[in-house]
Amino acid sequence: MINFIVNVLEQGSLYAILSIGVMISYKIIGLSDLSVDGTYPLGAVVSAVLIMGGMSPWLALFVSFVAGVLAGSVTGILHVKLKISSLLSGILVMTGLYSINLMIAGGKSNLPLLNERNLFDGFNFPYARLIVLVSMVILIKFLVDWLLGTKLGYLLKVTGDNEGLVIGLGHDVGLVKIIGLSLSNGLVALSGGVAASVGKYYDITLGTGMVVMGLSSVMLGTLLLRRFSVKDTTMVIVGSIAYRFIVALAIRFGLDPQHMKLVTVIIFVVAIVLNNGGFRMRKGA
Amino acid sequence: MKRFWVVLVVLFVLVGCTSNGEKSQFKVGILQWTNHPALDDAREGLVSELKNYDIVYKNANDDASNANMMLAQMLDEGVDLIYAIATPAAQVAASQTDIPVVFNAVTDAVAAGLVSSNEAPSANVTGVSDMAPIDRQLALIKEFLPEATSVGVLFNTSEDNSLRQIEMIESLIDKHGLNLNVQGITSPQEIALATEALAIKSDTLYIITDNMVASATAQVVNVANEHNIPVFMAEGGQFAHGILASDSISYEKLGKQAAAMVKKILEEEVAIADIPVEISEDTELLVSDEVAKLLGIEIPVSILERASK
Repeated sequence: MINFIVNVLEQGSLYAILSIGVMISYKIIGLSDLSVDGTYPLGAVVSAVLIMGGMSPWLALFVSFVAGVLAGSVTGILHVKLKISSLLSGILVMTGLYSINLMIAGGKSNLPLLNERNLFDGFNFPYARLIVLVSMVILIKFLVDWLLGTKLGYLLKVTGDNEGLVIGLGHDVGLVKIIGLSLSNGLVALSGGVAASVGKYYDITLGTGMVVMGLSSVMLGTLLLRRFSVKDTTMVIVGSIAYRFIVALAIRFGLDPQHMKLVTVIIFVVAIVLNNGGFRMRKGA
Repeated sequence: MKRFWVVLVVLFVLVGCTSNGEKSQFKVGILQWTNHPALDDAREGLVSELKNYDIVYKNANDDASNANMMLAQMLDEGVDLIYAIATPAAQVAASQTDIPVVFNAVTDAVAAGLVSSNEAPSANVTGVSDMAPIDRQLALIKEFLPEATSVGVLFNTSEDNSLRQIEMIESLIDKHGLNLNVQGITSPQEIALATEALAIKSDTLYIITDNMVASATAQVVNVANEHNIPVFMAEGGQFAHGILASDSISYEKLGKQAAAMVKKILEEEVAIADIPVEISEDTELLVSDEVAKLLGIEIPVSILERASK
């Protein structure tokens, strides 16, 4: 029982970081960004290769974040400067990243990290992994909350609500979008880097279905907490844990594994339907 | 919101109720990475040998997060041993638990970081490797086609497993008096052209255990047949697509070998360090009469006698 809860919280925290990233692109600046399926394994492979090369896992995690920022800025530039739709820009970056991820891993599609250092080394107290993960999520939450309260944060939000206003204020909407996508994918890659330490391996397929999972967490969090005046980031973290809880229950009650992907979609659709009215699709999505 | 909490409490109670399984005999948790005929065989082979065991089976559907949760739940249920099918499942199991882990469908356990050495695994992990018996395959090709001088092999450049097989073929091919032609591909669209290129300069084609190429077996066979050359294959799963012969590993038999390891660990309490990683003990020779007739090849009697179908 206690293991069940610890596991749900661990997995929920891990994917909460990714979901906060997805929230920035989808909910704040109102763009559907599919590059997430590529930037998540990008973060994982960058951390994996650097850790195997002897770098400190925390420093490697930072490099993962930077790699995600770069990939996100490519999506942004394709969308803003080359006028490719956000959906297609994301798909292009995701597809390209498949090759890049393989190249980073030296042509390998799977890297073992079982005997390498990881983020949780040196924390020798009970439930260390859970406590470190939760602390990271809380830290990231406060950093993102702070950022959204700055002038840049307001510009990001206004870009999602009313692009014209940003232009009216004399700011470059395109630049704001690129910054938003970079930040979003930076967090997604960071989440992938953490996953390399939690799972102790990297595989090219790690990113499959991450966009849908992240969006589901965003929807679910909004559904559960929309009547409360809490920050978006809090909603997303609760949503991510609730999502993992539902999946864990499905596994516990012996749901046929072939139906798992369908469960994901059902969670997503139910959350959208119940949110209807409380959470509208934004322009440009 | 009150209703939300009520639902949450009820769900937790339900979770609590279902986790109190009684412990009667040995309990084995099976963590299978995805749905695939070979992996299903690996599971069924083990289950058929462990009739009086409690078996808990979970399938992660290619999803690392599912795999983690499934493993945690099985440990919660008090399983004595994890049987992990396919490399990522084995990596998840090896990294998250100290109870014995027996793997199957892993080609190179050392490269996958599962064991320090195949002869004496140092931690809590051992198992069976699905490395195809390449030496026997090459011997079969030469026995079938004594005149042949070259073999063509197609491989996906992004599969580590395939690169390893190519290296092994290169080291063995001279012994059999053959030459090797290799052609790398990066996506399924390239298969037709790459096969064409190989078929022109080779006397026969050999399909290794490469996921991308194996999935397109029918396509490879079609092109090869246009050039009137036979195709041999490392595993029997795609045999019906027009393969001439395959001296292949059987995942079901590997599952049975793994079951013997499980019994050693749980019943006889043998230390894992004393249970080396095993490869397939015996292979299954499949030969197709139909394909042989189509290509006008006579099946040598020595092969017919050994063939299982």
